[in-house]
Amino acid sequence: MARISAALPRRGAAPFAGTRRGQDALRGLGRGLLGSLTLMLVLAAWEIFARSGAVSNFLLPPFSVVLARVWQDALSGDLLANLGVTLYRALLGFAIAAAGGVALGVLMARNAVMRWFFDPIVSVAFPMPKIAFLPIFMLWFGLYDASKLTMITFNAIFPVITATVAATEGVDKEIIWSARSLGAGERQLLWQIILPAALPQILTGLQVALPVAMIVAIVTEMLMGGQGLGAAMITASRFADSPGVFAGIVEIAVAGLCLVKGMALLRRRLLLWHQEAKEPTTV
Amino acid sequence: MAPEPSRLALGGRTGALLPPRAAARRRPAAPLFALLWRYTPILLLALLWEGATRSGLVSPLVLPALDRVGAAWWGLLASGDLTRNAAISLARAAAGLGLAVLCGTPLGILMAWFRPIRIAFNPLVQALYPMPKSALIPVMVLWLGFGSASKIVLILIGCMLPVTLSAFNGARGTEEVLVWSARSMGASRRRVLWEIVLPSALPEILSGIRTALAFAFVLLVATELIAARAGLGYMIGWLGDGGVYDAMFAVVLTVALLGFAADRAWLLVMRRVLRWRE
Amino acid sequence: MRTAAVLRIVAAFLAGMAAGVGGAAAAPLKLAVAWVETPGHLAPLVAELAKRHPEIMPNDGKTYKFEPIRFRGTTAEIPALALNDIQIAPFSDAAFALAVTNAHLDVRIVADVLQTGRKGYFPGEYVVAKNGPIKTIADIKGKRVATNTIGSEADSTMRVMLRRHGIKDSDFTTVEANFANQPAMLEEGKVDMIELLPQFAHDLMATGKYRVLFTAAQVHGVSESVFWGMRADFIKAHRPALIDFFTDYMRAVHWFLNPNNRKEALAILVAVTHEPAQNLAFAFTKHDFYHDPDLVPDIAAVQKEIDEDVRVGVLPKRVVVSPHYVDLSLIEAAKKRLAHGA
Repeated sequence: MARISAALPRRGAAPFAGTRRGQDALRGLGRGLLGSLTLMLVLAAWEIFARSGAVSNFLLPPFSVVLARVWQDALSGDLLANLGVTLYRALLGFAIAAAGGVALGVLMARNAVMRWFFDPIVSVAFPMPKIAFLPIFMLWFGLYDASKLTMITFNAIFPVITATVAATEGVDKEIIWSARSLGAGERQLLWQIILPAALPQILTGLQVALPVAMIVAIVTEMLMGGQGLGAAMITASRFADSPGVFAGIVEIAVAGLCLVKGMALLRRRLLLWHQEAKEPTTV
Repeated sequence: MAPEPSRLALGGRTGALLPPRAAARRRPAAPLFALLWRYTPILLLALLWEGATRSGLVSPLVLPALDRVGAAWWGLLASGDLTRNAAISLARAAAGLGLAVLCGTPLGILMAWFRPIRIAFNPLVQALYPMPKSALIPVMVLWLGFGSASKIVLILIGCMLPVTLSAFNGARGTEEVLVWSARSMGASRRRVLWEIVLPSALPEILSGIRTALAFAFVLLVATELIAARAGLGYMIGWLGDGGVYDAMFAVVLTVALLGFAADRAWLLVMRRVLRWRE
Repeated sequence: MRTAAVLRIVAAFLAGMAAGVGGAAAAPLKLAVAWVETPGHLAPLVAELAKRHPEIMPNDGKTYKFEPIRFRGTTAEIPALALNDIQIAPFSDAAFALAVTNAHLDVRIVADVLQTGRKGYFPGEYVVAKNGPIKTIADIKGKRVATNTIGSEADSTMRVMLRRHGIKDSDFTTVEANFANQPAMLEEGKVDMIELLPQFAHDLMATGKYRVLFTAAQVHGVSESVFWGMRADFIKAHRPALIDFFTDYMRAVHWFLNPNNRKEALAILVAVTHEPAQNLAFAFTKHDFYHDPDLVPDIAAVQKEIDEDVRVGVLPKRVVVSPHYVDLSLIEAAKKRLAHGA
């Protein structure tokens, strides 16, 4: 059976006129420079204030000292070890939440019983501060990675579920009917019509879930120890090591930024194809 | 500006979490019955819980029986411990969120209204947006100690972003035509801001506060679990440490339900305010 | 003239207010004293004793206000001392050194709290399950260990021992938990080794399933495990009130260490800890930590332990405590006053 999507109207190559793109790039660069200027100003203010002696360096170490510590951590391998562990937990939990959330969301959207059963659970659990369940998870799953991963997945899955349900239900019914009338089986319908059409909104849900996974990973590490950036920060605070604490903040901020930017790039990539497939041919 | 995905994920500004099925819209008859039917799965879960512990399927050490959790909850309420700590926690959340709304809403609107302010603050917002605010917990404790101050400031910082972003988006979405016609009638910039832009941005702002409300609870519980001397999170911690699991479960459920109730209460407020606006 | 009279009345009123405020401003000095566990730390017991026998601490509420505050471990007190949330902090050697080198606090060692390693007294125990995965110290690699707070006395002593056996911090997982909760965690298999205090030893060791892997005494010998630290500027600013406090506190410590008061001392201990009496029978005897009757800390032992911590890498920087960071004048003044029958 040929791919159903072949029956959908296709679009030609996107019209990236050279000059237009160049202008956009230049403008983007300018904005980027201006943006980093403000950031630089803030960092400079930090440095000057910290060195002025107005506050003890214990409360506010100079930014240069903090940067030096980040560099030191990178050289000693500590940064990679801790960052690696935290990212591993966050991304693994996120992946499970993504797969499980999409699966459950699609099931809920397509099956009335599943929907009836899970709807109140999801809608009650969504606004709850699920982090409150951490001591319960510690009781159930011990103090190694299992409890951390379960907590991360438990927190990250809900935005994925709600986004998937909304997206799946929002797929244009006409496309489904026409595909069905062309003889599409349920499986093909799901993978080649529904999921691709629902993709933008699902991706939005994933974009909410990723920072959630990161936040929960760090909080669980702060509470439970066992390597990772969160645990390193708590150890640093026990040792009255403020440069260590601030270095942890910088490292986490950069890691978070990279993840979010990475996700945004991924979205753009995936949706580029999506847009191309959806645009009607010009006559 | 960074995208505001949470609004979409929350299912639109009316607040309905899951959009009603296109084919089967609920009939207005017997709404109470519909409500009960809707939440029956939760009742089923509760029965499952009680059954599992009674039958001995699950060890009571791991999952205390639901009736024991209920009894423990009652005991905590009677002793005043629960109300005292709940009051402290809720006051912290309210203070932090309130300050965030007070500071974030004008900031967002001004960012939409005045280009220099937007250029100045945009990079900060972009940089702080993806940072997990929980990373600031050790610093807050360092600067402000174990008391309420560290919680309130952390919640303020964590909630500023969604509030500012939604105020920005809402203000930006104000229909140009309204602004032009008001200006052409001689209204000052300030009047336009107050009487056109702010009301127009209101739905978006209220929705942003809803997101911020959820953040406030998460940050409150996280901080209280890690570094506190009072509050519901602290209570969960020392009950769990002390092995009083039925009471611990009771407080965890209380916190979870408070978060849920706050969200629903805010939805009611939103609907009220928006209806009055019409 | 009317106006002048009115002005004079207003001035007198304001002066009276100021005097009243000034009088109220001579309030008792707030002394928030941190403590971790009892009966190792006597502070909460002293507070309870003062409630029952106010004559033992006559100046409490007058020149000073004694307020014990519980902390999970000594390193957690460093920021609190920096913020002046607490005025007296019981420090481990490591915490004291960190307060000086990292927190840049000008602190002084002022009094003893408890010591381990003294012949016959409680040595500080690290306990594992007999049939568990840890048979020798080298087996701790890759396992989970409970500690009250990272950097505390029990914790840093353990790390010194582990480093002597080539085990680095990153080779095992540390979980922070109250001393009181650690036995349950060991029993439930959540962790593989805990720090055991005498008040929790009774029930755990009675099962026969656990054994002592090593003791703190084996690590450091005689150790000035916990001692009181205070900020130098605070001592300077409030010396008279502090001498009042130390005199009263020393009187209370003498009371607790006096065998004649044992029955009531144990009653106070039960009231404060809510533990069953048979678990507390060891208190104030030779099976307890050693408490110096005159609160005199063993400064040489402090330095020796700091040096060892630096040598194995538990502490990053060395501190020479004597003479700059030691101020025993408060306890000496207190002792003098007590000797004169105060």
